[in-house]
Formats: sequence, C-alpha cells, structure tokens
Amino acid sequence: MKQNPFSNLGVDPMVAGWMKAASVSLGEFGKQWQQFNQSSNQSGTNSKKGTTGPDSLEALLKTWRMVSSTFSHPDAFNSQVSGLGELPSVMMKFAQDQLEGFSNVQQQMLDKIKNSGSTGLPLNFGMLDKHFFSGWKTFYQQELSQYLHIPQLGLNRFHQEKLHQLLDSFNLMQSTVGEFIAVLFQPVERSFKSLQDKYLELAEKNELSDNAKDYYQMWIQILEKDYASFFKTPEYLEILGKSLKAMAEFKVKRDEIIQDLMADLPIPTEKEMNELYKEVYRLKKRVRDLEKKDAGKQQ
Amino acid sequence: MSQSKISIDHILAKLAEDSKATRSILEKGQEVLLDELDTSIAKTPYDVVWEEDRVKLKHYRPLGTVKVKKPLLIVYALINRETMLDLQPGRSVIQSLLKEGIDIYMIDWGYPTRMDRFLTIDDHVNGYLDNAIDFVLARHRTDSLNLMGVCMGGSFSLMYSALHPRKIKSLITTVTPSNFDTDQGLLHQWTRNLDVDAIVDTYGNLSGDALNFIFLLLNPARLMIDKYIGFVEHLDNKEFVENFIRMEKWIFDSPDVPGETYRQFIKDCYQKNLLIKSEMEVGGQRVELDKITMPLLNIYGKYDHLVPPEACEKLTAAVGSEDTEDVCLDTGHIGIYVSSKCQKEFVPKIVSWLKEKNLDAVTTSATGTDAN
Repeated sequence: MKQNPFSNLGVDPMVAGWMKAASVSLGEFGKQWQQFNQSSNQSGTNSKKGTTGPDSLEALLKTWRMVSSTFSHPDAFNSQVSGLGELPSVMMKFAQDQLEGFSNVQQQMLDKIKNSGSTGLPLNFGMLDKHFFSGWKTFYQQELSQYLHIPQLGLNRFHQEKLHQLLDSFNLMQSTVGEFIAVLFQPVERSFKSLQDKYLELAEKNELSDNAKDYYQMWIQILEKDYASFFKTPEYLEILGKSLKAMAEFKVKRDEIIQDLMADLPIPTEKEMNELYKEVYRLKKRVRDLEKKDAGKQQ
Repeated sequence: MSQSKISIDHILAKLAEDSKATRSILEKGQEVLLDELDTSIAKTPYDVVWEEDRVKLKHYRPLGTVKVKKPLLIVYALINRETMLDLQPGRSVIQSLLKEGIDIYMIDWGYPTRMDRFLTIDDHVNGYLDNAIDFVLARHRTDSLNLMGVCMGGSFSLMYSALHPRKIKSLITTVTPSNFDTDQGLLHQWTRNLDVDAIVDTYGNLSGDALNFIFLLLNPARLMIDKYIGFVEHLDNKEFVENFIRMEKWIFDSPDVPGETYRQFIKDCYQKNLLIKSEMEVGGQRVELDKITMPLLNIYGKYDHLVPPEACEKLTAAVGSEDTEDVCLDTGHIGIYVSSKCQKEFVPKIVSWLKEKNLDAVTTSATGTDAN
C-alpha cells in the first residue's frame, strides 16, 4: 500500500475535525430550511408540493451530510486521500491517450493531402489551361465529395442531407459548365493560330493584303469551319450531354430545398401547381372528348 | 521568311482611311438609330376568327377577288413565331399570296406557359388543329381545304393529313422534316443521344431562351459575330437597319415549347425516326403516310442547315399519293420566306400549284365564305 503523502503532516485529525464541524452546522441549516419549507407549504405560498428550488437544496444537503460523515472517519479519509495520489498518473495516461489519438488523425489528414495530387489529372502548368476544370472536377469528386455523402443523424437529418446533396450538385455543375465554356472557346484559340499560319504563308508568297477586312474574313471563315466540324466531335457531344445533366441535377436539388422552405409559407409550390395543371389538363381533355362524342352522336 | 513587300506606311495609311470611314458610319449611324424607325412586323390586316386556350386562328382580309375556292390554312411550327411569313411589306409571303387571290388562314400557337407543359402532339394535331380546321370547313361550308405546313408545322400537317385525309384537298410542306435519320444537320446529331426525359422532367417546357441559345450555337461565328459586324458596317443605311431589327425581333421572339410535345417529338422523330417509317403513334392512332393520298407539294432548301435536304427528300416516295412534286430551292431554312429573290420563285409556284389542284375554283366575294 502506498504511503499517504499527507500522513507526516498530521492532517488527518485536523481534516476529520473540520469535516465534522461543517457537517453539524450544515445539518442545523438543513433542519431550519425544512421547517421554513413546511410552514410555507401550509400557508400556500409554495402551492406545488416539491417545487424545484427547495427540493434541489434538500438533496444537496443530504449529499453533503453523507460525504462529510464519510470523511469524518480517519480511515475513510485516508483511503480517499491515497486514491487522490493516483490522480496525477491517471490524468497523465488520459492526456497521453488523447494526444496520441489526435496526432493519429492529424497524420491521416496529412497523408491524404500528400496523396491527393496523385489522383487527379496531370496538374503541370503546361496543361493547366486545358485541363483546369476537368482536373478540379476529378479532384473534387475523389477527395472532397465523399464528405458530403456522410450520413446525417438526428431530427434534421433529411434536410441536412438535402443541403449536402445541393452543395455537391452545385460544385459538379459549376465545374462541368466551366469545362463546357472552356471547350466552346477552343475553336477561337485554334482559329487565331490558323490565321497566324495563313498570314505567314501569304507573306512567304508575297500575297499579303493591305486591307484589314480581308484578314477578318479569313478569320471568320476559319472559325466557322472549325465550329462546324468541332460540334460533331464526340468530345463536344460528351461535354454537352454532361453539362445538361449536371444543370438538371442541380435544379432538381435546388428546387427540393426551396420547396421544403416554402412548405411553411402560404404559397403554393411548383410541385403543387404542376399537379393542379395536370388535373386541369385531364379534365379539359375529357370534356373535349365528350363534346366530340356528343357532336358525333347528334350528327 | 522573305520580307513583306507591303510597307508599314501603306498599312498604317490604310488603317487610318478605314478608321475615318468607320467614324463617318458611326456618326451617321447614331442619327439613324435616334431617328424614328419603322420596325413593325406582321402588318397585314387579319381578324381572329377562332380561339381555343392560347391558340388563335387568324383570317387575313382578302385583297380583291379570291381566285382559289378552297381556303389555304397555314400551320407554322411551335418554334419561333408565324410572323416570319409577314415580316415586312415587299417581303411578305402572306401579302404575296393574298395578291394572287388565295384565301388565307393561319394558326397562331401563342405563348405556352407552365400550364401547357402536359400538352402532347395529339393535343396539337387532333385537338387544336382539328378544331380549327372544322371551324374553317363549317365557315366555308365545304368538306376540305388546302393545308400548308412550315417546318415542325409541316410535320404536324403530315400527321393530320394521314389521320384525317378527307378534310384535306391538297398538302404543301415547306422545309418540313420527315426523315430524321441524317447526319447532315447539327440538330440531328445533338439530339440523337439527348436525355430528353431528364430535361422535360426537370424544366417542364423547353424555354424560348434555351432555344435561342441552341440556334445561335449552330453557327456562332456568323450568328454571334459576323452578323453584328455587318450591322455596324451598314449602320448609316436606315432601310438596312430597319430590316435588320425586324429580323432580330422575329428571331429572338421564341415561345416555350410544351414539355410533353417536345419529349415525343425528340424521342419518336429525332431519335427513333418513326414518322417516315409510318410507325409513329399520335393519340393512340398510327400515322401511316400511305394514307396521304391528296396532291403533295414538297418544298425545301438546298443549303438548309436546320432541316437538310436529306430530311425532306424521302417524303414524296413514302406517301400514298401519286400526285407529288419536290422543289429544291437554292437557299437556306429561312431564306425561302424572307429572301425577295426566293419569294419570286416560291410564291408563284405555290399559287400555280394550288390553282391546278383546285381547278373547280370559282371567283367568290371578298370574304371568300360563300358556299360551293
């Protein structure tokens, strides 16, 4: 058994004596409080029996009486104090575990960041202008999007999940449409390069024109031809389809959130109006068909 | 590389000359733009004689004696507006036909709203179009009329004529797509793998703004850049500016297309090409092109990038009629109607053909509504 660190100081009898005195005085206070409580109950000022304030105080006093009577015995006090001696090492172990756990998480995050570049497209600066949006989209889908798919908990879980889906679809839409716009400008870049080559060719042959309009016409024809062939390519058709799909998905998610918000307001939602329109359409069609049948019978 | 033989002085002098000319154009152009401009379109007088929901039937007031007994009903597309046929005096198909004694009705499909998103091709063909035709037949106390379709309106006219052949005396299709299995047009390629269900389920109607953007994308170099460079170059020419603005007014006046109509048109026509195969169903009825037994005049444009010749030229072989004629004009999709040169070919051809197919024509009063 470990030595009580306080035993040499002669603290035991002093603490025991103090605890006993405190217990007696608080016991007296508790008795007086009880008397006060009972008299006020009789007079009706505390109409509800067992109101929170006095009950809590009584419970507190009882607990203190129990603790102080425990500590007033020297043996009990000794065992408690020796237990206290263990406290620093327990706390140290606790802190150590916490620190280890935290540093593990941090290490995981650092490893993730370190490896994130390897999952995307080549991010060298030479290809950055061509693959910026597609590279960002790949990085987003593989590294960040997963956090928005973590299942949510609690009362608001559905709304929280819808919000995350909206954010996810917004990010994807933005990067896809950005890619589409970047792709749309590729023929313009190519046309300028083609014009430069054509200019050099004409210069070689000494056939340069002194009229700026001729160069403009050249450029427009090059651009027109490039777009006409470019719009038929699988690359363009693919990005067109992806952009339309991403925009539609974003609109669906956005409208869901808006309709949830509007549900509390006295405004009909688009979904409700569509249901109404469909009903009206069906009714009108039925009436017309009946009118035609009736007209046919009369003839 | 050998040195250029054009001196820098010469180039700079030319640029200075050009900028002086441009400045002069811009100064005069400012006066033109701030002056009163006549940019109104669709000025030929008409009366709205029938309405159902947003759809109206216009009857154009005859100019003199009506020379063809049976009236001509023009069915325009759901895309853009029928005002293109009456763009301006001197370039109005409607006025030219009226002057030749044709009694003209035209359907105005109106501006669809969200409420119209569930309207199908059946509602347009067997609903509005059939009711409009019944009205005209009753008004003229006749059992058939002449039908002319423009673009998608021509496709609707084909479907109607196949389903109700007895009501149609003769059929004219202009720049009408009937065969969609072609790679000649960009629209055909873009729509082939289009997820139309996602678009209609998400957006409902196909918005007019989206349509405008799609059509600009067909040739962005010419339609978004060169066109406006040309406008600036002729800014000092008041007549040019007025005509240009009229065209701009029409071209960007795009109604929405009802979602369910759009869905079926893309799926059944552009993707499955059912119309030319006589496999398309409208309102539960099969559209069989061999039921089209009335005379057919099929006009299309050689340089049409929206409805290429390949999309039109198979029609006359697919219908049941033995009295058919193909006319291919050296122009594009809209040029047939707005080019003054083409109108000199297009309108007389229609008039002579109608007169030939309506040989029992008698002169009638100005209203053209007397009995046979």
